[in-house]
Amino acid sequence: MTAFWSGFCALYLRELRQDAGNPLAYIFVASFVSASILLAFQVGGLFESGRAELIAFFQFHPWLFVILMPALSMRAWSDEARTGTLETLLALPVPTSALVVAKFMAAWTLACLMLILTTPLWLGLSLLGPVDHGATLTAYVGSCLLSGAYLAIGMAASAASRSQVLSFVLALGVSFLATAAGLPLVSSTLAAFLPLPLTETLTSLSMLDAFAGFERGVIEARGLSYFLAVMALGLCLTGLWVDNKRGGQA
Amino acid sequence: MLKLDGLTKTYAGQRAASAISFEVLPGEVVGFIGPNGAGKTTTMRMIAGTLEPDQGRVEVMGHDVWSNRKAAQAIMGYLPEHAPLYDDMTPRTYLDFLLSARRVAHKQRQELILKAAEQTQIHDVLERGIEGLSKGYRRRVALAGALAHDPPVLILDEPSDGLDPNQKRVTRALIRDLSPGRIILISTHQLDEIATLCNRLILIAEGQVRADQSPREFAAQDPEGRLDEVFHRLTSMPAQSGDGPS
Repeated sequence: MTAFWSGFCALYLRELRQDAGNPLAYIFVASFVSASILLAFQVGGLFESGRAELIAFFQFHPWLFVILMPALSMRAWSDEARTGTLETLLALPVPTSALVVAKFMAAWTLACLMLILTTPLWLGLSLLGPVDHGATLTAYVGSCLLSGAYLAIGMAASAASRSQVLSFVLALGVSFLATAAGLPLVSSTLAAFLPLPLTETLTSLSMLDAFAGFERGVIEARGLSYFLAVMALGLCLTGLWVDNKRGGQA
Repeated sequence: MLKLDGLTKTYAGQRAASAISFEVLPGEVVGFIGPNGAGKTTTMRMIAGTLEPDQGRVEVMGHDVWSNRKAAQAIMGYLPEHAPLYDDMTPRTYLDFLLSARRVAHKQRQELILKAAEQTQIHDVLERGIEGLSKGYRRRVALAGALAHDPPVLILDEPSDGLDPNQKRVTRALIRDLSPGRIILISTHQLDEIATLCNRLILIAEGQVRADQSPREFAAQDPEGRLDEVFHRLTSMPAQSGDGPS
């Protein structure tokens, strides 16, 4: 096993065990499952639509993730720096990339588990009428990628600060901007101040825009590459900030 | 051999380490002493590869810590200042985590954990949560983490801080037992520890090396042989121009 994989596996399993023993992780999962289902029924009108489809359920995921993913990732690096255990990690003969990917993958595993726990809704709906299983599965894949993109932003924010609160606020702010940019209200407001090409570019960088195809059950190369690019960017920034601590920065 | 060559680090205009150079040979137990803020921890972090120097280099058994960091860190055991630990783990899971990250096979990990637990006398708390351990136990768990993979180079930042006299005695005996063939660098504030444990001491103040000699030679600088007097005199000297805090 290479230094990357040994470091990755050790830290990934450590993080998962930490989550398994942490009541906050259970509260977090329960909050997402209950809030997403409640929103789908109460606000999205899942029953009232009269159609056996889960668009009403998935449409709220970006907004739930804006709050929940920064909460899930805020401790990842800021806590290591605050308690001094980052020093222990950095003294291991392991590349920084292994540490960064391990922490991200562990948090993403929890986010995916959270999504899996909502599948009874899918199964329940399929008993009531014909459900497009392919489209629903695509939407789940999209939601999974979406959560990964928000988590990568959160990880970078966590590496940038020793304070959990500051990390959360930073990730929340960036995530909100990256989501709200796709709202018609925001794009029309931006269009009043900015040139049209710039407005269109900003709107096209929105999480909502990238998720829209998946939500409809279509895997779009643009959406897929967008999410992968956000994850790669977030993890690169995390790695840079973690490595920066070797240079003696906060 | 552990070799430091012109190690320099500046934080926000303050020089924490200024052209620090020395060599440590296998079998030497070197006490690294100095007042608070002298640059001991900064130097130890640069040796351990967790802090990059502005200038200079560190070589551990022929491996440059910055150009070949993984190889250098693989043969080092490092106890950071304040002995940070994961409170949600037990000593056993903590040591297992460190060893698995160091690519030690599962079966060998269990043997090494038991050996390190015996050496540091934490075997009775191996399955207890770290969060509930006393300061002395926490320090010894962290020490076990530094030596569990049986490294030829040990960098220990205040290994006996927070230990009671009995625990200090055990820790010193352990370091003495480990010393043949190993390079051991210990940062400490306890001058009696230097006298009983180390065969060489390096004193730094304001980021500069002020003394590098045996404890006997160091004590001989005072008519009554008092280490604290010599320590006070050498650390009260002004820094050479161009070095030290600016």
